[in-house]
Amino acid sequence: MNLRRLAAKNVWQNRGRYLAYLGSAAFSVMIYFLYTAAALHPDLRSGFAGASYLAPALQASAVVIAIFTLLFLLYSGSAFIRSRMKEFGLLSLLGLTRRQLVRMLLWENVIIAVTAVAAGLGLGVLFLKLFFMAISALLQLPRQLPVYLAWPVWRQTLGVFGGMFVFVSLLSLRGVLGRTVIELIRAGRKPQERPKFSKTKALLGTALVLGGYAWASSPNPNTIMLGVVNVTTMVSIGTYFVLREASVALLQGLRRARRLYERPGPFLTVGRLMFKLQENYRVLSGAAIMIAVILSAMGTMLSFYMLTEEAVVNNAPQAIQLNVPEGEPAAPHVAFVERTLAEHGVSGLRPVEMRLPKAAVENYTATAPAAAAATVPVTVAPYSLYTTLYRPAGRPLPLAGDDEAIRVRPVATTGEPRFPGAEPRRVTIGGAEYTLTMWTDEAGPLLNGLEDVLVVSDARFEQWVESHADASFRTVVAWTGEGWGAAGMAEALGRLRERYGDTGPVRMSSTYEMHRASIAQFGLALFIGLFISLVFFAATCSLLYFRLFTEIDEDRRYYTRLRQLGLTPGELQRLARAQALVVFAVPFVVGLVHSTFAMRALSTLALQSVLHYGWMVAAGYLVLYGAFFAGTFGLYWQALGLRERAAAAVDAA
Amino acid sequence: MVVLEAINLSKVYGGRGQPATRALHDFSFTVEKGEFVGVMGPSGSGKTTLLNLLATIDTPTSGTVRIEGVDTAKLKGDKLARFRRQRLGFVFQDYNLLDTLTLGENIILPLVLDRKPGRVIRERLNDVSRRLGIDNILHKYPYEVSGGQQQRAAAARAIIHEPAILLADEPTGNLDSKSARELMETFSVLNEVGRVTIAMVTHDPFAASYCRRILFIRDGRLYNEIHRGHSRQVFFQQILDVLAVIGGGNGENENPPPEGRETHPATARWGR
Repeated sequence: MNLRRLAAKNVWQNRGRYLAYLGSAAFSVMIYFLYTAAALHPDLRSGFAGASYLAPALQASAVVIAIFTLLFLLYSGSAFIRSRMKEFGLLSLLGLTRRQLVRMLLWENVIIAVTAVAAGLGLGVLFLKLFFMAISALLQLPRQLPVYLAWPVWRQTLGVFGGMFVFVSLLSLRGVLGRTVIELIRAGRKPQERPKFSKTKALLGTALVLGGYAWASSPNPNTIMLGVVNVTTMVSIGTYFVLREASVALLQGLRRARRLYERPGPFLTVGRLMFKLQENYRVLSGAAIMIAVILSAMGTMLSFYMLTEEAVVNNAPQAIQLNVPEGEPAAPHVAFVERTLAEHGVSGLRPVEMRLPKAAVENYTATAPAAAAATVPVTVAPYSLYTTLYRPAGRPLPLAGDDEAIRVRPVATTGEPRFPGAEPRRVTIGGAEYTLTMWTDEAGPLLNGLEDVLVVSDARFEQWVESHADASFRTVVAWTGEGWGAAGMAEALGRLRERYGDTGPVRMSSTYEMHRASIAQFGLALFIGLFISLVFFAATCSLLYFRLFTEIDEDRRYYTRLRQLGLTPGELQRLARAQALVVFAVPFVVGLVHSTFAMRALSTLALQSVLHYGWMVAAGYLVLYGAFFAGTFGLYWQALGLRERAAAAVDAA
Repeated sequence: MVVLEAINLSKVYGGRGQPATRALHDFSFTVEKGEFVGVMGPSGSGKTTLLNLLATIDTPTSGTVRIEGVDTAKLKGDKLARFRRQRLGFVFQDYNLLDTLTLGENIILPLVLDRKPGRVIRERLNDVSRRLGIDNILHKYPYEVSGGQQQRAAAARAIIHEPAILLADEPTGNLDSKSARELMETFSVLNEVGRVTIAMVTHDPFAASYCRRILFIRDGRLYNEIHRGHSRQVFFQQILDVLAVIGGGNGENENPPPEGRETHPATARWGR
């Protein structure tokens, strides 16, 4: 057997452990490849809003992906080599020269790197079409992007990852060559160093994390904007210190608390976590920070998405609204829209036809009393219409009598209301002047379009319409109700837009179209954010998978010993699960706390609480993460091989 | 009182297309309370198989193992594991201490697993560690002490829960001669003063000479049995004599069992 064959055999024998390594490396190669293909795509350089930002944004995210891949490969490569030190020592002892050892390791690395890059590129080519379809849809490009696969894309991907693999394998060689045979053989038998609690590091870490939290909790949006990078750095470094010192303090404390400690679970778990602490805390803090980034990024995106939707629906509350010019009958339009909606299966919307007089109200801008003489044009509506038209936010205000009125402002006010009380104001309609006690509704407009609506009692409305027939009127038909996004709506609106155009005499507006337009603006950010989160998720998962599988030989020895001492199969599994669960749960909890502060900061910026979106993201993440844990632990437990033997023993008995 | 009873134990490995290997063949013996029994034999003679069967880690193809009258084949899964940790004590060749726990913690492990109160744990730990002369290194980790000390800690762990029988598999296999002597002297004291019942598998004649009785296995069958008289020196010589006859034990050139001076006449029927 030559060295190349030996290397191939080694890789095959260690395939369980290499799988995570290979999988995540291939995944990174794929994402990098896709992003580079998009960044270099000639059709994405112009022709739509934000085109000039797209290429740099995609390149930047490709760089982020490359950096994280490098960090992951560095960590897992060194952990992997460490777990096989004994094997290398043995080979040296058997007479393998250093030169041969180096060649064997290099061959192993070549096999892994070639497989990872080939798999990544293969997957990349496979998903390229889908990727470009997704971009086209998200950016709402007029026509779908053609697949782009030119030489520069290959060159860049191969160059970056080839270089990375060479660098990582050279670095891992250093670890092996720097040790004597006996050091190689003994490595792994004892913990690298017995962890000691460091007060300085604990204080520093706590100060950094709490300082970051305090900064993020500032009520001033400007302070928060200034702190985005600083807080992230502070909290990341702080996490690294705090996690280590807190684990040491906690585990040592537990060890002293005899009543708690001297029970089967804690007794075995605490000692073992202590033993693995040095390795664990690096992985745990890395994973915690990545999870914090994922949760914050996804939370931010979800918040933007939801707030945008809320704002759109709030500002265009009527699913479809037609403004029919004065003098033209509305009935044919109503019939046409009704027919089109029915054809596309859209139901649940109720058409309301209204003829509303226009008036002018004494300027009520509280901040500018000097301009009090000026007036604001308003559309007058009866109270019954105000209470029955669909409005997503806010309840209708009460109206005490014919001398009162409600101004519905065309823009919703976030936070404190600007006009809390009622004041007497003059209203001019058809040349006559009235003074009414005026309340202000700031929950958002009543009709689509930026216009004030003045709500008066039904009796006064009747009276005004009768006595001021000479005033100017507008005819509005609104299809009102919650179902603005119902199935078939997109097609129905396409039909209607064909007839009414963008500038025709009959003006059509719809919630659905407004929503589409605003989502298209965020599409790019959503897209990039989603993919970076995906890469981070994959990195976190493979980091943890790796943590679990690197030391599986040692773990198997450990659990076999316990089995010989008479631990039941159930107890063994509970123990293994508890120890694996710590590795998975700690980063999630820490990441969740971090992201909660990030969401608080975002709430300050958004002028309203978005924490619940953060919780929604965390809950979704927990489901995925939990499934990943269950799967990984299942694989791990199977690989430990304790279950089979225990079961076999029971069967035979 | 009989502590351990092995009746017609057989163990066949392989089968299902593979050539079957008979590791143990109708093997029977008993261990009385307070005995110190050794099991010797050449490599591949079936001694480790025998110990694994006694330790309930493996199950016999046929035959019965009774420990304190309990048929271990009737115990399954959790009950079996619990029986093993409560009624058996183990000392292994490679110590089998947990690297993650101190020696003291390793020793009290069986009591912790059985949720014994802290006071009992403390008392027993003091008692056992003093008897084994390791009370001053209880706070150290296994990798910080010598092999002999690790093995004594393992012995302490094996007896702290007062098991019915202590099963030792080549306990001196990894020790230098001084540590081996110290360990065997400790075993003797445990047996004679502490009334601990011990069954030990070994191929080290010196370690075996501390036993009160030795069973020799060859090719899965009982080959001979000798008892110790007053002198350990003489016993040692007897062991060497038997081993010389057993030889490499490849089963081809069968020798008749030698008539040892103290061979128990009752065992002749198991010999060939």
